[in-house]
Amino acid sequence: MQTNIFDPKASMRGGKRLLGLAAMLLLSAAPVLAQETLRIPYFTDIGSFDPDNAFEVGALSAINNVYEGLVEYKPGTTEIVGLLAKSWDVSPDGLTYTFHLVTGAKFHDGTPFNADAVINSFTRRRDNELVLSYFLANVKDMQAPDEATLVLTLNQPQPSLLDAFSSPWGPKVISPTALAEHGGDDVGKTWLNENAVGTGPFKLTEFKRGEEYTLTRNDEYWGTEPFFSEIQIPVIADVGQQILQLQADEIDAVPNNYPWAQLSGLPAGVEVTAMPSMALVEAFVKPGSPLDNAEVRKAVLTAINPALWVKDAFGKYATPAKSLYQVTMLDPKTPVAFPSDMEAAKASITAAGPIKLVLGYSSEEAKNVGRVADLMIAQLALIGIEATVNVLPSGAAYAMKGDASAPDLYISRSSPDAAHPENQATVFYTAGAPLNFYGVELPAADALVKEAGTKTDIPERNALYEQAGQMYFDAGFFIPLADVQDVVVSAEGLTDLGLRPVFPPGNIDFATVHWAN
Amino acid sequence: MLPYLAKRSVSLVVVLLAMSFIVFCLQSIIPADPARAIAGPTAPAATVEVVRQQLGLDDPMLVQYGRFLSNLVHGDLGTSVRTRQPIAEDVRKYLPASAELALVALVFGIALAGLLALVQNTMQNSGWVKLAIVAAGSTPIFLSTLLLVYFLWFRLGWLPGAGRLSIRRFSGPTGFNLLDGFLVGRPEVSLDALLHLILPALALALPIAVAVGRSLNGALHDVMKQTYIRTGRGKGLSETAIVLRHGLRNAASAPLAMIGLQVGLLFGNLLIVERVFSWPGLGLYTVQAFATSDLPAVLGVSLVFGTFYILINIVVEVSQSLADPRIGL
Repeated sequence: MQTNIFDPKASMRGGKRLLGLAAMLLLSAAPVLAQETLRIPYFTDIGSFDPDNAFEVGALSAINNVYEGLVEYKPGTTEIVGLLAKSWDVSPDGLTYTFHLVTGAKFHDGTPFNADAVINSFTRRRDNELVLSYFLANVKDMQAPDEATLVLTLNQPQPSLLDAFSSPWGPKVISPTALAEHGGDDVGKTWLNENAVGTGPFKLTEFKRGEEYTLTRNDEYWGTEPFFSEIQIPVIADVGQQILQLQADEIDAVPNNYPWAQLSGLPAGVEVTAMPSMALVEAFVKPGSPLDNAEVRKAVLTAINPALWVKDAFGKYATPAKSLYQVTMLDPKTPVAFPSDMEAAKASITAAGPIKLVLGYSSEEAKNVGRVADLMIAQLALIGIEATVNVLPSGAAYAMKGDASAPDLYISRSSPDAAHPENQATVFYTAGAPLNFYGVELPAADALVKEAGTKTDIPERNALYEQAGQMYFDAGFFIPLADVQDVVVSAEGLTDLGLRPVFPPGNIDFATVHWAN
Repeated sequence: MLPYLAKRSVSLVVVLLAMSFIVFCLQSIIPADPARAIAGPTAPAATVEVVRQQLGLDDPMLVQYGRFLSNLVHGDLGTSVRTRQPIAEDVRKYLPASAELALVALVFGIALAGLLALVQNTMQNSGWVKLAIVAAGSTPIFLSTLLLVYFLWFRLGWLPGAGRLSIRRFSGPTGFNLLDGFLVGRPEVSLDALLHLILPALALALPIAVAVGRSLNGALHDVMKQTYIRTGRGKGLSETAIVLRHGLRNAASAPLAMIGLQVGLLFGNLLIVERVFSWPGLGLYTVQAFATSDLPAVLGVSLVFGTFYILINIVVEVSQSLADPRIGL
């Protein structure tokens, strides 16, 4: 039996009469939790529960257990499987997608789920300049020939469409009744911030900002019934507090940000679940840095070869990156090669004269890449390069383009929206990509990316993306460093966490997780 | 009194205007981009531009500031880019938790300060007392907070170490749980709230106690040498009566001023203490606002804290004047 009430016995042992009295009063009043309650903390408040109008990162486990899309990634993989669509067909020209929907599903307010509901919801997202509208920007037309069939027509072929729909931020279906009742003059943006009516296995039953969110099992769920009847999500901003609460049995897991260095010495009663993720640590190279010199670049690559330090940074929960794509997304035929002759590297630096490098990372990323930067500095010192670190304030990386004072190597974790290589290439590497921090351009590689984006044959597609990635690397723009796993530390016996590589780390699937016994 | 209050009201407005302008200028200098924060790191540039237009961030800074002032006159602090709610509404939601914690911390701090002054006065040559004061005074708040959590909650289990209540789904009329429990006829809620308040309030109270206690001790030391104190003793008044009736009142001015200063520090410390104790107040709200580039929320909370700071210092100055009529208003 688990309980989160104050422990009266401890109080009496302490000889504190007042506390003992208070605890006895509490014992008579506080509810005792059922065994089927799962307690998973969030580090930050949920900004908005609106599945169309918020780029939530830590709260996706809640949002995606209340709302559902047509398709999803299977837990632990990047394989696309049906959700509200049990199957689908794509026309030979790639312009028409026909989804065959599940029947008998209902929204939490009792409204039947059907193709019109999907169109209503998708139209809301596409046509109202919402934060996530861009997921449907290529959808020209939506038709419902019958209740269980949805036909989407695209403006142009988009082989990555199903990945976009499977993305944790992909389009979800909201109850048309709720939208009609609460749409108001802002298409429901205000109401949906703190309320939700989806078809998912859980209902949002409490939204108490700063304190706690509660999900309650949807007993009329059309799919497999979840194990837990209630999910309590307290807001615990401090990871130290989360770790202590896990050890005190007041929560059931620390979903992410558990210090890497402490994972090898966990106390009794807790365990690690590690799964592949899309977290690729890589370095963005500033044009005009000392790495423009080919000999210096080769020496630097020798020193920062991830095989030399990745275990020190992440223990057994990371591997040296194979390419500019997450290995879960694209396992390259020819992995990038780092030179290994440290003596030659040292000689090159001696010949090139005193070399200084500034490494940088965002303060938000300190927990994950701070140690990487420290280890790289130590490695660079071995070949005679004096390196320092510049920790950038949140958001500063977006202003580095053309900034001469920006770090020579900016270290970051890349996490694309979806598992299609297009999401990695066009977000981080191509000209004008939003996270191409230094604004570098390589038209020949961009052309390959564009061509790859039209391919439906996966080996052919991946070969083109791999080739483009190798070109970006050879040009000296980006350096892949490490593929890092999604690590959850939980009470012993918590199993089937349903972690998906594309989700940001720590987003447990409340529908699949259960106690082993 | 009225001319004083009028003068301070004008200065309150001037200070808040200056503060809002400075924070607004900072917004345009620091690299944080609320539009990008809302749209997400991977959103296309066009989406970020749409969000920027929706927030009015594409207007010149002075136009934005003028709009902010115009809204402020109507009690509108703007909209949080993180919670998408009016900031005034967020403040109303989060303020009771912080106000309750800050008030209890002040009470604890003042009570401990009195105790400290008394101990220092009676044990003037004790090295242990001096050591304890130096230790308490020099321990940074984040460390004392962690030590309290670790030992008094995690190791000993004497007190709860996080949150405002163990009792779930309670919502009272005022948001002050200590009070609400009694108001709705559930005293166990008030007791639960009190237990949850002790550790965070103690963490906030320690620096106040040390600063105010030392100030009070110094002032008492001087006052107790005055002739009217000797006269009181000559009249046969007990030492306690002398300290309480004549000593404390005449020594109150300096520690009251110190309390005024400590309130400003307390507001800053709320950010650390609320984070560690998962206390759902304005401190935690502000920490999250910083982390998500929610600059309008940071500005709104700054104005709220600034207003409270000035109002509390007005109360302090009035109290000083009442305690020592030589100090005019």
